[in-house]
Amino acid sequence: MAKPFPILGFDVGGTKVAVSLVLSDGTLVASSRVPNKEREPDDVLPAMVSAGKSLLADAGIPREELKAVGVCTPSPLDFKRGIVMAPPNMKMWKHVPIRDFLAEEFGVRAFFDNDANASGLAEWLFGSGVGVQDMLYLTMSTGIGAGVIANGHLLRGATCDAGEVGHMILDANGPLCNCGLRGCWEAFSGGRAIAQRMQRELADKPNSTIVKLAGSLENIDMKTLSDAVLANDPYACAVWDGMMERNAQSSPSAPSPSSAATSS
Amino acid sequence: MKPLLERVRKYGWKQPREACSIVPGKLGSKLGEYAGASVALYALHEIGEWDLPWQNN
Ligand SMILES: [Zn+2]
Repeated sequence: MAKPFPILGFDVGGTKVAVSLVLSDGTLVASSRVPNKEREPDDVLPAMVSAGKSLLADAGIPREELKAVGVCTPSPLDFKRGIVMAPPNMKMWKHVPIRDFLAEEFGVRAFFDNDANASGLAEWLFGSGVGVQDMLYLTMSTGIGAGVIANGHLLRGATCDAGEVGHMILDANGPLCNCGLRGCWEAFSGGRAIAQRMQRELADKPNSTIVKLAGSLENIDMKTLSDAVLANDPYACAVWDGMMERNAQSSPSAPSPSSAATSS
Repeated sequence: MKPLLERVRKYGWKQPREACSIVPGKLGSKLGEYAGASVALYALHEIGEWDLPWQNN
């Protein structure tokens, strides 16, 4: 077997960037974090580069042994040109050519994709999807997205949006979605949509279990909901039940996999 | 409360549904650590410079 080679990975999110040094055999050598909450890319990008260089130095890996860099960010992005377009929770990142910046800084090839595809690839290569030919990775967080592996390849589609399953419409008369349409899966089951719905419905119920658990209306989130479900609160259980029913309705409609991995 | 797999019966067409399994992700808090690197490794695989973990032994 060939000697494993080192890769630097950057997972750029709305609050932090996970920087990691991984070997091609799946060994996670080391990792660190760079804050990215309401920060300018002009500050964050150099910090990412020095974090990556520190990981290499601390592991005693000379820079010329680094094989490549991989980076993922939330959508929307320009996949072909390696540009972050201005994701809703990273408003200061407008048209940032992140892929080529990292390639130049590290002097190696850099590769780029959206965070749902990247997480799907990670679960496929090193997690619950190891060895399968077809799988759908679902990420259920603030929004809902997917990474689709079909016949041993990542499915991108013509505009690289193949995994955008969160905007499949389950009910054209349903609740309004962030995207402007009505009744998307994400409008029913996305973390942000559910939190907003609970804040609306509980606005005049300061004594409800959920408001009490959250401390205030604005603090209500998915964690509050799951805590209230565990405490058997009837309202929370009804919200949860409705969400699970929409998840059940949607999951089989997303591209048919022969093995599916989900994460929350 | 009813688990997802039981609920899916009502919506999923029988044959593809029965060929599938629904499982939780395995990487958990390490997902972010592997995501960026996986993009690079898959890209190298696509151009023939890296074998998938289950192909190289
Ligand atoms: Zn939508």
